[in-house]
Amino acid sequence: MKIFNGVKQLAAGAIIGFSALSLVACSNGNEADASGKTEISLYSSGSKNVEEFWETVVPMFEEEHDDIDVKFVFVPSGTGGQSTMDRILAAKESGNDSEVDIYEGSLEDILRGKETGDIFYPLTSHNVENLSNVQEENLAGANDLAVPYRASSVVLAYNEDKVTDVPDTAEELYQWIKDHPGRFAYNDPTTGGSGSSFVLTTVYNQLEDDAMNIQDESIMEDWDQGFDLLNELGPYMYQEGVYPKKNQGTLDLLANGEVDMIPAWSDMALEQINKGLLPETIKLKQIQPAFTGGPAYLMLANNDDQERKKAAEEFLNYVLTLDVQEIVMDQMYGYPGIKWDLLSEEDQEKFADVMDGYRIFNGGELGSKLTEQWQKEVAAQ
Amino acid sequence: MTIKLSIENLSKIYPTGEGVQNIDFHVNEGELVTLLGPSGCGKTTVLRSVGGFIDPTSGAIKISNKEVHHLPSEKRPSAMVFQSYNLWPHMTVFDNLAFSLKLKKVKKKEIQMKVEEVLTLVHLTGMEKKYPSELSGGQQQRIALARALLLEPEVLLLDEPFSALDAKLRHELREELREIQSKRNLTMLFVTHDQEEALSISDKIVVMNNGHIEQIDNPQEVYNAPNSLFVAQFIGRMNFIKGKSVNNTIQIGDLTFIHNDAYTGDVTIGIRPEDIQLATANTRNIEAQIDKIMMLGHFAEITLKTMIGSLKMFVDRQQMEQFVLKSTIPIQLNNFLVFKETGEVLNNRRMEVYENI
Amino acid sequence: MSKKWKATLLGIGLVMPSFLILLILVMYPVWSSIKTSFTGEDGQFTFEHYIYIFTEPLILTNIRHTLTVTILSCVFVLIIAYSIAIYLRFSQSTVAKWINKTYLIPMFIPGVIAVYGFINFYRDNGWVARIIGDEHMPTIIYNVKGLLMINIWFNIPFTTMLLISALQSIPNSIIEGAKDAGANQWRLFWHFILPLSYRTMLVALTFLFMGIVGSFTAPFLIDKNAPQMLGVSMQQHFSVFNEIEQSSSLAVFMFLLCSIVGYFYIYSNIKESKKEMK
Repeated sequence: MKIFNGVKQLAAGAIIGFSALSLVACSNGNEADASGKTEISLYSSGSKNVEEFWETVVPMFEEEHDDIDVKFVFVPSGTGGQSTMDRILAAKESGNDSEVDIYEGSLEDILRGKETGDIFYPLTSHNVENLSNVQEENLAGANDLAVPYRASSVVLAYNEDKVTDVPDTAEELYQWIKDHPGRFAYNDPTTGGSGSSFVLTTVYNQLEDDAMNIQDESIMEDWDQGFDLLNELGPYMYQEGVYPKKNQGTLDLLANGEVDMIPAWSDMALEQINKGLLPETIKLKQIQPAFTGGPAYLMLANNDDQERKKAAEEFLNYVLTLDVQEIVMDQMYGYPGIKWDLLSEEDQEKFADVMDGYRIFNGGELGSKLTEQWQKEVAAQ
Repeated sequence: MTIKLSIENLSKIYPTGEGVQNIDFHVNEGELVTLLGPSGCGKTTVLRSVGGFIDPTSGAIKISNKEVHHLPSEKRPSAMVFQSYNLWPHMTVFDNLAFSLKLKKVKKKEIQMKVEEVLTLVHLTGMEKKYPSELSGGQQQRIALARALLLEPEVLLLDEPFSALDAKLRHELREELREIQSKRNLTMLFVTHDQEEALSISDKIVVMNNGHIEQIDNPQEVYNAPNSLFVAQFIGRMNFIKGKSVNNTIQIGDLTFIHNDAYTGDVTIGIRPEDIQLATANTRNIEAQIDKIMMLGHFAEITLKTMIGSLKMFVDRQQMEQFVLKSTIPIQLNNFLVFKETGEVLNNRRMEVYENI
Repeated sequence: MSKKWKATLLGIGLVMPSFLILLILVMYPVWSSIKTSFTGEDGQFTFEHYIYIFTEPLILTNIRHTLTVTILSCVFVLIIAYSIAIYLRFSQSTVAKWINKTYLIPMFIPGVIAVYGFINFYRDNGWVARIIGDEHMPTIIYNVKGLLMINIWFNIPFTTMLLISALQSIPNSIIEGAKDAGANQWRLFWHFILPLSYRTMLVALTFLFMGIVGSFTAPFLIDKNAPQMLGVSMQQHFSVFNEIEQSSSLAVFMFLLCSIVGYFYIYSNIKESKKEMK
């Protein structure tokens, strides 16, 4: 969930001007200090909950490993998260130390790393023991270069008092929307992942099963059928076609009872149900074919420093322990990275409604093309 | 003489408790009457009530025997010249002058003519196209007067119109105003705090203090025969001596003042500086030492030390050689006034003063 | 070194820090935006991004929408703020005193908080709807009506403040003189109050136009998904579609819009001061 500041007329220019400066701004050493401690750094970005998660985990780790210091650097989302990746790439190219040891990044970053060569250390259960506990399907995208330590997906959130015929499939969902005009809303896909997941799956449900892995722009021609469906659904949406801004926008509508069903991020919805921000009557459910989602990945940047590599591997291994995974579930309401059967039954119970899996969209740039087309064709309908 | 403006028992009380009370006077046709008093005495309140900018609490205002106090200012047959910011800054002189005529739907040609005429009257021909910011302060007030004249008011109200101007210009405009007034037989109510201004231009002066009228008289009378200590203090210069009256006599040192109004109690004796002269006879004179000489152009103000206290007198420039600092001279007191403790005048006719032997 | 030289150097030295800040914080981003907006994918000079924003139906409707919303907001704000200002200038009533004490409050409420409060207040089952009943509630949130309302809410305090100070600078004697000359309320307004305050209205209009045309938070959260205000569209092109060149050309276009309004303001100011200097 991004929080946008007021962008005034020249902000775009200013951002262009300053992203250059912000690159220069941060730098300092990661040397082993006099006390014999190894200092490693962890670069992460995203929402507030990610920051809070690491601020809990890092001290826990340091307590257990008093020979390792972890420096945590958080880059809030929307302020140039890409620059950390650029920094790693630039350091590799010039042969310098990037000073980034552990990097939390996206699937796209892994693919870039794979293309470029050895910018990330390979990660297997040989150097990170607990990797053997990680869910198989998440490992596929990791390409042996990353640890998928947690995941989240978009699910259907609905008010069980109002919705009696809960859809099981996407087709049933579309029918439900038509049968209950004004009671469904998805957020503007240009402003949040839950809305864009709805748009994405609606478009790709009309295509071949593996279309989500195609990155060639020629597939855009086949989107029409999906967009026709979205336009057809438009008048049945909240206020005959209003798409609130941001993931929270639709959650607010659901909480206020203005709509009865929305697509929502599993972690956001679970957290808000647990904190009482959403009424208890709100239930979550995954439909088939599922909405999209995906793991969050940790990678090890290759800086040719064996000591730091070892310490970083130790850290990754620690993240996959049951202790930390429970924090993922309890504090972030995220899906755990390790296999469900390693967890307590109580924990499994909590995620029973939503653990039906998710699809991973692997279309790269096509994601933003899709939202752009949505803006032109569906929003302006 | 016909009464043009009459103010009957007018009161205006502000929420703060201040205001004016029981104001009652009239202005005859062709008369220039001045409301004179220190700031805060209520003179402007009276004037603005006549103009329609203040709603009086009670009383009546009549112009040409018609009640006007319930009318809004735009419907009253009066016109007002303000202290400053009279002219409308976004309009040329011509537009400023022509505005009221246009409202009355006067024909263009006639407007032109009238504007020219009134500009001639105030000696500002050819200024039509100028903006107020291009005029001097004096010119602005002349145009303001001209604008008020074009309204052809039955009563012209002037609220300290010259107080923002320098002394010389003030004199000039005063004279011009008087000239225009007599030329056009205008009825004017003029507010000022400047006693010299009031004395020089008025037919009648209404002296106000603390929200009420102290005295209404022509300038001569107000000066010569003030009916209260306040008026005596406020208008002209006067020497004051504290004393005690027993019946008709006031004894101060060796001096006896005799007045013909039997009164016993504390009094103040007032003597105008010009009523103190170099003694011409041998009798009834007082010895005085010249303490200070202040030259004021064509005359000098001389401070004397006498047995009844410090007195000021005026001496013409030509006679100055007779007055030498620290020398002693005989003086005589030609006239004096006696005020009760309450400020009321006892009797304002001429008295006798003599020294006990 | 002569004295004159020293003085000149000192002058330049004093101006330099602010000039450099201006250069870095304003000039450089502006220049960089303009450059980006003319740069094609191959790094060559191109008009394609301007052709895009003036031919793409999405942007054209957005431009129309932006101008409509901006002009309507300006008109509403000016009328309301001017009425309030006139009332406060000429009334001594208790109501006027209360308005005088409270009208600036919206200025001290942070924008995002105000917008969320506004949404909670006016949404389809918000507080207002609960009071007057759902069925009587017009759609305000996620609608251009809501956007106009929040624009009015945000802009009234400052505009009113400007206009009040303009009206207060008109001396009472000018107004009383006009009444004395026979002007009724209507003429008083038309011939005196309006001409003596229109220049401040022009200033207010300039501020209003520039503020609203480039606004982001309120239209992002309250307006419909389409058409969009240009601020929202620009942000979307920049950070969602990753079309930095197109968002730069939009920024330059908005900059030009504001420049035109600014030009009229400066032009009328120069004309006015010439009149006074004459």
